[in-house]
Amino acid sequence: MLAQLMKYEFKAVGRIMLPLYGAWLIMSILMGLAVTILEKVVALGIIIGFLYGAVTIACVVLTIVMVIQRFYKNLLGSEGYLMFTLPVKTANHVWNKVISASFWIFAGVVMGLLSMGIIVLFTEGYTESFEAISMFFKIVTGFLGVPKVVLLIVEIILLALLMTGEAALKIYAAISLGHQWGNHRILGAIGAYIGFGIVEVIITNIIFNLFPNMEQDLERLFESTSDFMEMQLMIMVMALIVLMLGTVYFLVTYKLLDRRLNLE
Amino acid sequence: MEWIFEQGRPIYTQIVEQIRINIANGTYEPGQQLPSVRDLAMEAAVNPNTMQRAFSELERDGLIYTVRTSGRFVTEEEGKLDILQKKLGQEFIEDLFEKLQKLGMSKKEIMDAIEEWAKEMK
Amino acid sequence: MSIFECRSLTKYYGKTKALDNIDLKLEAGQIVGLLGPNGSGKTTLIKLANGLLQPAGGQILIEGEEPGAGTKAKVAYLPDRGFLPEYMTVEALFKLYGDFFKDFNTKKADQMLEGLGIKKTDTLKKMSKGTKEKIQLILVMSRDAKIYFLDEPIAGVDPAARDYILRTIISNYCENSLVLISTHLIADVESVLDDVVFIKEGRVVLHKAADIIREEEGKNIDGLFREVFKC
Repeated sequence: MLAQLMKYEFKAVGRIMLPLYGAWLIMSILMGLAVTILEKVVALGIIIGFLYGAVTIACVVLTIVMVIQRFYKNLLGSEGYLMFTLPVKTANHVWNKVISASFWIFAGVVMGLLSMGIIVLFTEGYTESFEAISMFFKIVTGFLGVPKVVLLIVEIILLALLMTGEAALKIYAAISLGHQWGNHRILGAIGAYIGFGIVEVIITNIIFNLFPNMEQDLERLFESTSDFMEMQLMIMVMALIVLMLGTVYFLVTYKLLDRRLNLE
Repeated sequence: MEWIFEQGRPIYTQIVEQIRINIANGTYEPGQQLPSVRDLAMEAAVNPNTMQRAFSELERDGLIYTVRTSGRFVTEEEGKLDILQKKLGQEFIEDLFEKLQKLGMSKKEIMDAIEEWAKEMK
Repeated sequence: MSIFECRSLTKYYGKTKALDNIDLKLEAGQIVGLLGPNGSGKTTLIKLANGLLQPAGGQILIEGEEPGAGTKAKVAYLPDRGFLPEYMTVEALFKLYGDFFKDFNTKKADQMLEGLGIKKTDTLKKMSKGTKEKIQLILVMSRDAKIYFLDEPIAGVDPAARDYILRTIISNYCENSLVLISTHLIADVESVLDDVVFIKEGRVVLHKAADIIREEEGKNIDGLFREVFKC
């Protein structure tokens, strides 16, 4: 059933984001042209630049808005009467939203890089860009060897996905918590989100106070290992923290949706 | 056809009455197949169980019979139809008498009024 | 085992008791009216049956099971509001129901749709309120469910549409299923009901067969309702 949910989630989001991404790509190409070929026609260049900026901002903002709306409107609005009467476990609803949010935030980042890449391609030219990229990779793999670089890239992508998932879950937990406050649901959600941030900081402080030597110990640990291992450890530690936070926010969201749902 | 039900009386009773009248006045002819319970329930806008109950009672009275896999049919037995006509006739007359007596007419006055009315009808 | 059962079911909204120790047993093969004024607890009861709310006390059981993913597969719910994504076409909605509900009968839905002259490629957004409600009804009634919960199916609907809805409910009758109609518009619906349940201030005050009430009280259900719920 989760697969079915994801299918409909993708369709629901894709119908808005995909055309937008299409526009973003087109604008990137136009921007590239404007910067190089259309240098002479300044007015046109300015318009295109403006449009490009607008589309870029729209994509970024809409991604965040979409993450919020897909949860708030689809699960806690009128559509909740459809979603929560589907023969689907509550946990799967949360998974569906997290996976989707993670995917689209990640896609947004990729699109951003692609957009910049297209412009660079125009400005620096095809051959030069290609040369610059291959040079960069040669240097990096020279240091570490191809397999380690591949591993790092994979790990960074996974970490990025975990982080976007955790970010989404934090939003979902805040919305679910705010939803409990009958007349002030949006205010409650914002308050909860800020509250989560505060709690995170407090817990971090507590941990650092409990283990005052932790910083020194970690530094020593890092120094004693190679650069590669240092990167590995950092990635693992970050992944662990994100995973823990994500789990907490998942459980908060799940418990509230499963036992304290109150639509309308 | 239009099914209209009075308030304050069980619906299934009224359905039985209506169907008996339909059989007596030829709307449902002897041997004719009746619509299914579901179809008739839809036509009358009533619960199928209520319609079923009415059918069962009509079957008990011998006015309709079931042929398995075919459906329900109006009886062709002349005897049964005669009894029905007589019974309905008596019920209507009883009803008429009750109403007129409530207006204060005596039995004789009622009979005279009926005779007069019949004469004018011709 | 009753197809639908409430045992000492209680629900609070804040400090208010919305449902107060409800005991109720309903059997398959019936069309039952859940009748009461606004705010009497009808919608709360239906939401509890659909797992949209959790009981504060007692139990609510669908074929002996508490509401969850399992019961949702055999319960069909028609809420008293729009609940479908507006941008979807009729065709897409049929597909969605078919994907999630094994008991969804696409052929039946198509037939019902044909009779109304609605195009499958139309989106909900473009439809009038009445047409949207008919689509929602078709989706729900095309399911071969064990229990149908219809929350105010004829409120705010013109007489012709009302007839259509009642005819659909009758023609859909199945002796293995239960249809529970929640409404405060008694007169229009009562000829279709087997049993009647009066709910007042969160309590069941009456549960009887409609024709028995008519026989014993010499009134229609509507008439008795006015008596019982006199303001």
